[in-house]
Amino acid sequence: MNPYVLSHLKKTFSDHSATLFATLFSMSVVLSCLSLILLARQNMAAMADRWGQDSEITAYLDEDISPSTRVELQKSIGGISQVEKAEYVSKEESARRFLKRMGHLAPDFLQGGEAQENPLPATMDVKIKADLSLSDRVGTLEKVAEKISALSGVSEVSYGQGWLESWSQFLRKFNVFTGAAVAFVLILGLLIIGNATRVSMERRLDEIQVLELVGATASWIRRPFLMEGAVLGLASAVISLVISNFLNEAVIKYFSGSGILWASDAALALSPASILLVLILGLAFGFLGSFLCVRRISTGWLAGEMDVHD
Amino acid sequence: MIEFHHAYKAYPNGNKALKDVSFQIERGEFVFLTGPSGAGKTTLFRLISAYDRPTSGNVRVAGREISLLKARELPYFRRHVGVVYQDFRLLKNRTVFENVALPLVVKGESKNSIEKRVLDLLDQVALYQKKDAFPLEMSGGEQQRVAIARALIHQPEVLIADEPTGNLDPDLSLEILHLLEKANARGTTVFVATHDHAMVQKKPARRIDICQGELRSDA
Repeated sequence: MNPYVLSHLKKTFSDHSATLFATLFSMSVVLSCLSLILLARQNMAAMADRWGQDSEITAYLDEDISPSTRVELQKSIGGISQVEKAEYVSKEESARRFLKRMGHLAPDFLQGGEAQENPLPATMDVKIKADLSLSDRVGTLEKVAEKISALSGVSEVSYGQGWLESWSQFLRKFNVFTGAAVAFVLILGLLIIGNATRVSMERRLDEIQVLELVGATASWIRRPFLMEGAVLGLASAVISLVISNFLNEAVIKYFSGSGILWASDAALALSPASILLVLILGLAFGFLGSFLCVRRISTGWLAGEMDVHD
Repeated sequence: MIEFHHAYKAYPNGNKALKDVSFQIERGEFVFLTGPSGAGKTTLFRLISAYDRPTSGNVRVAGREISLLKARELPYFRRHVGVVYQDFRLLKNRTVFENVALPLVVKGESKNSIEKRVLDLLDQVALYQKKDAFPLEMSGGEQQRVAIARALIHQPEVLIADEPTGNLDPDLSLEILHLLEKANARGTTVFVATHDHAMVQKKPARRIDICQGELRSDA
């Protein structure tokens, strides 16, 4: 690195530490918000994927379905390309599962002996292949359910379409919100870095004039300020990652004992891609914030604006 | 080397700083520019060093027409001209070494070359021992010598000095004059603005006198 740039950075750190720390603090807070938004988005997507992977299609079978039709039906469903597995659940097995899960809520259910008819239908539980994103999964479930309902022996098909669609819609909206928040946060970052550069530049106006006088080019004069902005942006990004990680761990710790499934089970650390994104954005916007400010300085005639004493 | 041809300079506030100024200075000359305060000496120097452009007329320095210089050409042009100011214009938070080295640093010279040339020059201006001092720790004469060293370090074709002895006592003024003579002896064209009569009397040289923006005499 150019020794002048290095010395410029050293002087910024030593002579203007208050401004520097104020900028670093503001920028870290801003980038922490960005990290937390990315973290929230990532967790919601992970959560949706986990829930989505458990989702199944339940095909309710006709009361009078013959064993041969049932076997044929199971084969037909298993033959659909997106289906991983189709499992037959008899009326008796349905009742047994119901009693196991919900028996305490209906203590009289099927307690009347053989005389009491089992109202639960036999079903075919269909599991969809796991390697699909949530948005693809909703579409796939819809298509597979349509195919299954057209098969003979099936009276009704259910796949939890309500919550899946709502969740998918919510995620889409959250993605838009994330985009808007990222844009807002970055504009704020640009302003903060731009302001810090402006202050640094104004403090060094005499120095800029002298540099022009001794033949420094505009890009040479701008370079230390750009480097200052980039270093500030990168340092803020690192600090923001530490802060968001700390907050994240505190949240996990708080919720892990509370039985809130999503908080304790979802993948709650920022992915390497998100970490890289925050670092790159910090660096790029530090640089850009400075550039937008310094591109206006040193047109070559700043020295000419000095007072005329004669 | 320096050529003014019917040059005019008017400022936006209406002040006509130079009116129809014409003269020519050859390579290697030593010339004094004299005149009372407000005569237009600083304006004339600002035009020579391309810190400003003439309103009309021509100003040519080192073969370049000042009013035709593009912004991107200015830094390279300025590397041909060394400027010494009455108020020194030193960077207060940089050492003597760093101040003198600045013109070489911006040119991208190697660290070794910068070190050798700066230390040599500091030795010539008797400031070697003060190389790590900051300007505010030095006397006015020492600061002016640093400013001269900075103006000479890149061996400019033209050295202009605006009232280089304005704030100095007679002994220090003489010392500064010797430094300027040394630079001139090495082939640099030296143009010194002053109203220090003692200095002008001590050095037999051409003298251009201006008053109220007009050339009064050239002898």
